[in-house]
Formats: sequence, structure tokens, C-alpha cells
Amino acid sequence: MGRYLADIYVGGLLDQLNLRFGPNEAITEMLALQKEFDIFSDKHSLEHSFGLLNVAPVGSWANRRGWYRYLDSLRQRPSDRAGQNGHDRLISALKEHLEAGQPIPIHFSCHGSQKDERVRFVRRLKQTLVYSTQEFVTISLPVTAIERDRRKRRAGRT
Amino acid sequence: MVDRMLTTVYAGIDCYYTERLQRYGSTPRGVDWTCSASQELRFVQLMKLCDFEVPFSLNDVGCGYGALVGYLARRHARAEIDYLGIDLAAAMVRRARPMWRTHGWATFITGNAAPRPADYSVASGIFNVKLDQSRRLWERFVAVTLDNMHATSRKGFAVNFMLAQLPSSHHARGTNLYRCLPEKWGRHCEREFGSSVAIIDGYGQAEFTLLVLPKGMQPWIYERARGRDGPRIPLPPTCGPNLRHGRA
Repeated sequence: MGRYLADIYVGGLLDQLNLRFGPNEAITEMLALQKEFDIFSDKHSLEHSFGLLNVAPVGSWANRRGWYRYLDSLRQRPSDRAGQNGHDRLISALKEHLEAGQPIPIHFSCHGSQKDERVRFVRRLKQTLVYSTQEFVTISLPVTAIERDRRKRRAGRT
Repeated sequence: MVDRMLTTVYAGIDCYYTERLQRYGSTPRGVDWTCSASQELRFVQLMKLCDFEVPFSLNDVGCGYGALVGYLARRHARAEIDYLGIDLAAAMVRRARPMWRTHGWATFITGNAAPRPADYSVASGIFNVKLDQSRRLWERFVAVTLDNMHATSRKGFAVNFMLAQLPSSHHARGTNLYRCLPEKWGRHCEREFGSSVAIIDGYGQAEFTLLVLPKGMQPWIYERARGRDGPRIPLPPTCGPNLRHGRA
């Protein structure tokens, strides 16, 4: 996500996502929020939905805006569902999962876009964390490592 | 003596929320909710108390910056409501007044209890953070607040609490949060006020809402408490109106 927000914010952002969609109370609340407010829906952008949940970098408005631009950029990315872009796939995956009524937690991670630029949703339950017996479905977001310093970036190209 | 003790509780609450407001602004974080959706999910439960088909007056005890006004304006735009927000923290009231200036049906005052009778009273999250007060003193504060709400509510009142965790849970010890079982304050309201009590739970985080009504009145409340599917509503504003502009 280097193009959109500083590297140091990415870990914290994934932590926020994993706390809000995590096991037990967290995912139960998310189910209730989806039922009541229809948070993830084709009527709302991801920026709006995650803004509503206040899932965004803390303490830096530039990086907060960067996160929202990253979410919007997923419209230009493919997904693991044919014909659906990454932005819409993320919405439909979250919507379908939360509306299925099962409080199964979601684990968010990221992968290098050089190898696979799709937004991926793995519905199969898996013990994602080596230190936990908890099973999750998984959403993985494509990210790109980019040198943020323009001069160094230009120098790297030549 | 007890009232003097409560004065220190009120002062502590005032100090705590004034600091939260200074830190996070008039946003859900400023009143200890993670986000506006989470905050409004509690309003949905509390407002199951009210009959929106007829005009009514409402006291919002511990109103903070008046987020309930925004929720009511969006979700129940056609309802006729005479709203009074009451908060211990003068800083919250000072922030609420200009924020909701265009909503002529909403007024705000500083205080620890409603100065007027109303059809309904609600309080969201005001019992959750007990700060460093003893459990005994905090429960005195809860009891006095419930007494006041009962005395100033003609058709009933609604409050929410955090649910007690299992004793083995690390959440149960060493925190400044107040948790209890629904029976504790539900029975208190039945016994002390002769009221009917409906409990709403299972809407997310470990907490519950009590709807307290004059005995024998409004049996429909139980249907609402069980969760009647209403129409989908407009989304709450993202992060509160100020956060988007970077004022928090």
C-alpha cells in the first residue's frame, strides 16, 4: 500500500480489521450492524462503509485519506470472482458472509500484487493463526511495495 | 453523606468526558464508542421504547454531544419529538448546542438529572465506565439515576448496561468498567417502581438494554424487544460530521 499510506500504518490497519471482524463479540456485533444498517451493500462505497466503522489509520489524516484512496483503487483491481472488480468483490464477500447469519470471524491479510493482483476471499474455514485453534474465513488484499521517496524511486528506475 | 459521595462521582464523570471531548472532539470516540454505527446500534435498541406514531417528549440523560438527535432526525424524520438532552459535562452541552442549532425541537442543559417530566427517558452507555469508583458507590449512582429517570418518565425509560463476564474472564477483573447481569437492575426496577421490564440482548457486544414501563402497559413492547424487522434505515454519517474535516 506504499503508494497510498506509509508502511508503518499497514500493520495497525490490519489489526483494526481483525479486531472488528474477530471472533465472538466482535463478529457478532458486525452481524448485528450489517442487519441493522446494511453497511456493506452495493449502495455504499468501501470508503463509506469502513469510514462508518471508523476502521482507518489513527492520528494521520494524510494516511487516512490514503487508505480510502487505496480502497477506491480496488475498483481497478481484479478479484477471485470473474467479472467483479476488487472493490465490489470485497463488498459482496463481506455482505454475503455477514448476512449468512453465522458468527464466523474474518481474518484480513495482504499479499504481493506482483504475484496475484486479485482481491481474494477464501470461504473455506482455516486455522489461520499458528498460535490459535480459532477457524476463520480469509480476505486477502493485494498490496505493492513502493519506494515512497520520489527521488529514490526515479533513481531506481534508471 | 451519600449525596456528598455522589458529588464526587459526578465530578469524576464530568472530568473524564470533558477530557474525552477535548481529545476526540464531538465524535463517537469522544463518548467512548468505537464508531457511529456501534453507537447507533444502541440507539436502535433504546428507542424501541417509544411509539413514534404519536408526538412525545424525550429526556436523554447523559446525552453527550447529542448524537441521538442526529439519529432521530435521520431515522424518524417525520416523528414529532420534544427532545431534552442532559449532561453532567458542561463542555459536552456547549458543543451540542451549536451542533444541533438547526434542530429546533432539541434543547440541551447541564445537570445530573432531568429537570422536567417527559413521556420517555433514555440513557446510553452512562453506566459503563465507573472510573476508579468502588462498585458499591457506582451502584448507588446507578440506583439514584434510575430513580430519577423513573420519576420523570410518564410512559417508561430505557437504559443499557455491559453484561457481566464469566468470573474466569480477564475482562471481569481489574478494569474500570461496570458490568452486571440483567436480573440485577431488572428486578430492582420491578421491585422499586412496580414496573414491567423487557430485556433486549444479543445485538452484538456483551451488553443488554432494559426497557422499563409502567406495569401492565404496552404489551407490544415485548414484541419490539424480541426484534421486529423494521425498514432498512439510512446509514449514519461517517465518523461523525467533524471527523471527515479533520477537526477531531
